[in-house]
Amino acid sequence: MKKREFVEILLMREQLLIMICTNRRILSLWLLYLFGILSISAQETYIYGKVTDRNTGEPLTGVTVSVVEEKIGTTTDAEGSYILKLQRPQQMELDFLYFGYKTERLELTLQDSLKCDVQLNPMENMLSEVTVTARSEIRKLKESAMPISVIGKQQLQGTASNINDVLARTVGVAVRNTGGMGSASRISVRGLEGKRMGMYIDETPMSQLSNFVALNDIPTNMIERIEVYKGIVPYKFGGSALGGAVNVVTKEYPPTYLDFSYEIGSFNTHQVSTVLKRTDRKSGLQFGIGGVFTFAKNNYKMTLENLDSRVVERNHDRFKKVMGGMSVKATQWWFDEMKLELIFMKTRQEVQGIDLDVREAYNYSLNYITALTMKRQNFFLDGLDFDLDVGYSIGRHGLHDKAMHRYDWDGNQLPPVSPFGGEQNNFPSDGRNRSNELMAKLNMGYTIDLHHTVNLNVYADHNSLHPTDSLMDKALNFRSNFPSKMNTVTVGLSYDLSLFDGRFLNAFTLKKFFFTSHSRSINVYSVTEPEPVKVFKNYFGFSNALRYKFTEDLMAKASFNSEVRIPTSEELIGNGHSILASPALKPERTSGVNLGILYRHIKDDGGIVEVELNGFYNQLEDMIRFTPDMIPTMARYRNFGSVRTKGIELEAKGDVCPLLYLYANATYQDLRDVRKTIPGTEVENPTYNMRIPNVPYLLSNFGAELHKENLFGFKGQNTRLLFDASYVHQYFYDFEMSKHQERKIPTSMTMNAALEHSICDDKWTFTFKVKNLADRRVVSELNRPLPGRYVGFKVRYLFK
Amino acid sequence: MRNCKLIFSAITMMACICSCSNSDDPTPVPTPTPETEAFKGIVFATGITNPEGNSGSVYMQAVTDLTPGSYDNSNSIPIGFGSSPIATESGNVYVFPDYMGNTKAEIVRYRISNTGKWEKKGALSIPASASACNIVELNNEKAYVSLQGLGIVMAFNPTTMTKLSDIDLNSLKQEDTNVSPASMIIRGEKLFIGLNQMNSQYMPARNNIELAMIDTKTDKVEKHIINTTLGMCFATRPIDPNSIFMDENKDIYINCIGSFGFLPQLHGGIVRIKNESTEIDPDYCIRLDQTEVKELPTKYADFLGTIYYNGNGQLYAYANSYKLDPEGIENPYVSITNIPVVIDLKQKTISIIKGMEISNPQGIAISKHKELIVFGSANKKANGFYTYNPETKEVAGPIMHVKGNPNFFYSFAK
Repeated sequence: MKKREFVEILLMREQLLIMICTNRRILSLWLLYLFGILSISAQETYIYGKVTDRNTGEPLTGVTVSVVEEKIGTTTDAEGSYILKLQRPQQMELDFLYFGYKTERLELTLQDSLKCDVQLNPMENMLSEVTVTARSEIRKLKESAMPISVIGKQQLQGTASNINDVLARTVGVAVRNTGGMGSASRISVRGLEGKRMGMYIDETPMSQLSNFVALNDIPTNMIERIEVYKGIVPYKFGGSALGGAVNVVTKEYPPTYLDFSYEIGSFNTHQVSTVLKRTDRKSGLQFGIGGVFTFAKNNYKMTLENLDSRVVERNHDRFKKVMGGMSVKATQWWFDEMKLELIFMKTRQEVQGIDLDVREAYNYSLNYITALTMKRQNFFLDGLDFDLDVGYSIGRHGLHDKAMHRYDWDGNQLPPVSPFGGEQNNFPSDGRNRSNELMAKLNMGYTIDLHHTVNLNVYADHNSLHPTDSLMDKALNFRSNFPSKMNTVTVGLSYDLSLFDGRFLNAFTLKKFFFTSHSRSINVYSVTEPEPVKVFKNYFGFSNALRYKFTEDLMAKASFNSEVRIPTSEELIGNGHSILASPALKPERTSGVNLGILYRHIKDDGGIVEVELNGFYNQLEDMIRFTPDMIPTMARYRNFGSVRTKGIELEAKGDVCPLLYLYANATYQDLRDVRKTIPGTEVENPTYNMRIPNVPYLLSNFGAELHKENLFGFKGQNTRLLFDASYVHQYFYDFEMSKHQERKIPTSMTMNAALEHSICDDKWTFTFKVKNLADRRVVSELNRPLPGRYVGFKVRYLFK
Repeated sequence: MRNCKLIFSAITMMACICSCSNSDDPTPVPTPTPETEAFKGIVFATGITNPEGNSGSVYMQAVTDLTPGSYDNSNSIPIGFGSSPIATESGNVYVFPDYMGNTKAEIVRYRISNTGKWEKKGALSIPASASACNIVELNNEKAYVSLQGLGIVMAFNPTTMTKLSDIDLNSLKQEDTNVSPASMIIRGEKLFIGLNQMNSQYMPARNNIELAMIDTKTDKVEKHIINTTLGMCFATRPIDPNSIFMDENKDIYINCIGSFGFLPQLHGGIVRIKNESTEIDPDYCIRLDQTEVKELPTKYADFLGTIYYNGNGQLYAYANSYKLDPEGIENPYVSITNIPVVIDLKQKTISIIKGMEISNPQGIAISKHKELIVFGSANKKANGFYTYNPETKEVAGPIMHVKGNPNFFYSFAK
C-alpha cells in the first residue's frame, strides 16, 4: 500500500494521471516515468479508479467502463482498477456496466486527469430489477397485438411439477397426458394439436429434437416464463406452425448462481436439477453447468375398464432421464452476446401395457446438441439488430421389443406378435436409428424510426434420418427402413407500425416456405425395390395483428392469419414399414380471425386486475390425416377434409388484496367437420357439421394463492398456499352418431394444492404439494388411466 | 402400430357378411328360447371413421323390413370398429369388441324382439388383443369363436356365455408366419377352421391353403389340412363368415384371399373340400388370376372381398380389381374398386352384375332378403343397400340410404 500511495501522490503532483491497482503495473509505470519513456502530452488527460461492490467492498473484475457516444472504453482488471486515456479535456458521460449490477452513469467535466472510484449496486438490487423487468416483459407481451397467454415464474412453482401442469391451467390450452412421469402428451391450443403446434425453446424451434425431448423435460426452476401464442406465431420464431406456439423462455442467470432442487414424490418419483453459473471476472466470460435427473416408477394403480374393471399396479412404466449441459457466454466481445452451449440427454422409458401385460419393451434415446447464439445491436448500421442461432444435434433412438412371449393380466403366456418376437405392434423391433439435424435461424430487425420497424427472419433446417432395424426387416422379410433427408427454408418478412404514441400497433408478416425431401420408399408392397422419392415445394403465408389502446388499461386486439404447415418427413415419405410415402401431400392451411379485448389495471398497491375476452374463428383446410389402407402396413397420410373452429375464451385474474390472488378462466371451442361430401363422391358426408371427436370442447380452470411474508415473525421469509382446479367436460371419442354412444372421455375435475415456504430471502424453499387432491379417477384417450393422488416434497437451494 | 391394427380391422370389415351359418347347413343350431314372436326384420350396420383415420365405430340397428328411405344412426348400437357382427339362424346376434382392442374385451350376445328392440342376453369375456372375428354355433350348449390375434379358437356356451375351452392352433404356424384362425364352418361333428398364415406385413408367405379340422366332441385338432398344388393361399377372410360355406351337397367351398392382390405371386380364388373328404379337392379351383371376369374392363379380379352363396351353384360376390380406379393400387382404401359379380361354381365362370354400382372396399355387404340379393354399396353416387333379383336380373336402389359405409346386412325374413 505504501508504494501505491506513493505513486498516487507522485502522479497527482506531476499532473500525470494514471492509477492502477496492481503493484506490478504501478511499478512499470513508475519505471517508465523514471526512464522518460512515457511522455505525456499536455492535451492528454486520464480517468482512473477502482470499481467495487457497494455492499461488500470487493473489487469487481471485468466491469465495462466506457465514454458515452464515443468509442472509448476499457475494463477493470483483477483488482477492479481501470484507466482511460482521453485526448483532451471535455465534458462527458461515463458508463460503468457489469452484468448483475445496476449500470452507473457519471457526468464529468474533465479539466485534468481525475480519479474516479465507483461502487456498483450489488446483486440483490439487480435481482429486484430483473423481477421488475420480467414483469414488464409479461405486460409488454400481454399488450402486444397477438393473442397470447404468458405464464410467469410464480405460476411455474407451487403446485406444478412440470411444464404440462402449468400449461394445463392456461386458457385455451388442453394437455392430455397418457400416463405418469415421462409419458407422451398431447398439447392443443384452441383444439389444434400435435404437429400443428410449434414448440420453441428461447424462440428456437425444437424441430427434430422433439423426437428426443419434450418441453415437459425442462425443469421449471430453469424457466423464466412460458408464452403461449394462439393462432399467430411470432415472425421471430421461424419455422412453420399454424395452431399456435408454446415458447419456453429460460432464465438469464446472474454472474454467480447456484440452484439446486430435489423433489421426491409418490410412485417412486425423484427429480433432481441443478444449475451453476460463474463469471470469470478477468475475461467477463460466463460459465454455466447444469444437469437434470428424473426417475419415476409410475407404479400407480389403474383400473382396466376393458378387463372386468380389475385394478392392477402399473408394473412396466419406469422412466429415467438424464440431462447435462454446459455453456459459455461472452458479453464483452464484438457481439453483444455470444453463447455456446453443449447439451447431452439420455432417456429410457419402459412401455406400459394396458390390454396386455407388457414386460420387456422399452424406448430409448440418446442425444447430443450444440448451439451457438450471436447477438449484436447496431449491426454495422445504427438501428439494425442481428440475432443468429445455429444448432446441431445428433441423436440415437429406437424401440427395443424383442420378447419371445406376451402375457395377459392373468399371467397366461401368449405367442409374440411375430415368429421373431415382439410385444407391441405387428413385428419385433431392435431400432438403432440415427438422426442428424442442422438448424440455423437468422433474425435481422431494423428500426426505421419511432413508428416503423421491419424484420427479416430466415429459418433453415436440414435433417437426415438413418433408420436401422434388422430385426424388423427380418420379420417383414424385406428392408423397410431407408435413409431420408429433408430441407426446409422459411423466409419471413414483417413490418411493425406504431402510431398515436404507441396506442396503435400493427404487425404484418409475409412468409415463404420452401422444402425439399429425398428418400427411397416403397409405394405399394407389390414393388420389391424401393423407389426414389423427391419432393420440392413452396408456399406463401401471411398474418396481420393489430392492437389499439383506448386507455392505459383498456385495449382491443384483432388478428388474421392464413398460414401453412409443411408436412413432416414421415407424412411425406413415410417410415418404410407401416406408413407409405405421399409425395403429393399438400401442406395444411389455416385461415383464422381473433378478436379480443383486454382490461389490465395495476393498482396503487402494485397488485393487478386483469380480464381478457377473446373470440376466434378458424378454418383448417387440407387437414393431413393418417388413413388406413387395404392392409394395416399400408397406411399413409392424406389431405382429408376441413375443420372449422369457433370459440371463445374468458380469463380473469387479480390480486383481491395484498394477501390473496385469484384466477379463473374458461374456454369453449367448437370444432366441426365441414366436408359436405365424401371426397371423390357425390355422397353426403355422414359427419358433416358434427363435432370433431376426441377433442375437449369445454374447459375451465380456477385457483387461488394466499401469500404472506414473514408469517412466523422472522425476516426474509415468504409463505404461499396455492390451490388449482381444472375442469374438463366430457367429450366423445367417436363422432356423436347415436343416442347409445358410450365411448366417451368422462368429465374430470382435478384439484392440486401446495404449501410453499421460503427462508433466508428465498435461499431455501420448501414445497409440499398434493396433486389430484381428491384422488379422482382420471383417464385420457379413452383407455389411458392417469395417476391418482400424488404427494410430493421439494426442497430448493438458491445461492446468488 | 396399434393404428395399423386398427386399419386391418377396417379392412377386414369390408366384406361384412350376414350370417355365419348357411341356410343349407344341416348342422343343428340352437333353438331359440321361445320368447315372444321371433324378429322377422333386418339388421344392418354402417362404419364411420374418425378424423384421424385410425379409429371409429360401427353402428348396428334393426328395422322391421326392407323399407325404402333414409336411415341415420341415431338409434343404432355402436359396436367395435373393424369388426362385423355375426347373426345366426338361431336368432342370436353376436357383437365383437374393436378388432384392434381398446374396447371392453367381451363378446355380447343380443336377441331382437319382434318390435326390433335389442335385448342383451349375455357377455363372454375374452382376452385383450384377441381380435375375435368369427363365431359358429354347434348347438345351444356349444359354439366356437376364433381369436385371430392369439392363434386360438375358444369353445364357449352360447346360452350362458361362459368359456368351455381353448383350442390352441399355434403349433400349426409356418416357420416365418403367425397362424390366425379365421372363418369357420361345422360339418357333421367336425369344425373346419380357415387358417391365415400371416407375416408381419399381414401377408402370406407362400401359396399354401391351410385349414384345421377339429373334432367337436373332444375339441382337439384332428387334422391340419394343407394344399400346395393349387397355387393359392389365405383360406377364408376373417370377418367374412360366408367366406367358407357349404352347398347342397355338403361340399365346403373356401374363398382364398391370396395377398389382397398386392403380391402377384400369391393368388386367391375358390377351392373346395368335397363331402366325405377332409382334403382340399386338388382337381377343383377357380383361380382369379386365371379366370377372366366377363365384361369386366380389367378382365381379372384381384380377390373376392365378400361372398354369398344363394344355392344352385350361384355365388354372389364383390370382386376387387384395383385397375378399376386409376389410383386403385395406390389408394386402395378409398378407391372405387369393388364390383358386384356372380360366380357359377359349376361352370367356374365369373360375370359382372350389370347395373350394380362399383363400391369402395369399406362399404360392401351381400346377403339375402326374401327372394332378393341385397348389396351394401358405398359408391360415387350413394351409400346404401341395393337389391338384385336373380330371376329377373333387375337391379334397384339404393332402397335404403344410410349414413356411413354399409358393411353388414342380415335378414331374418325368409
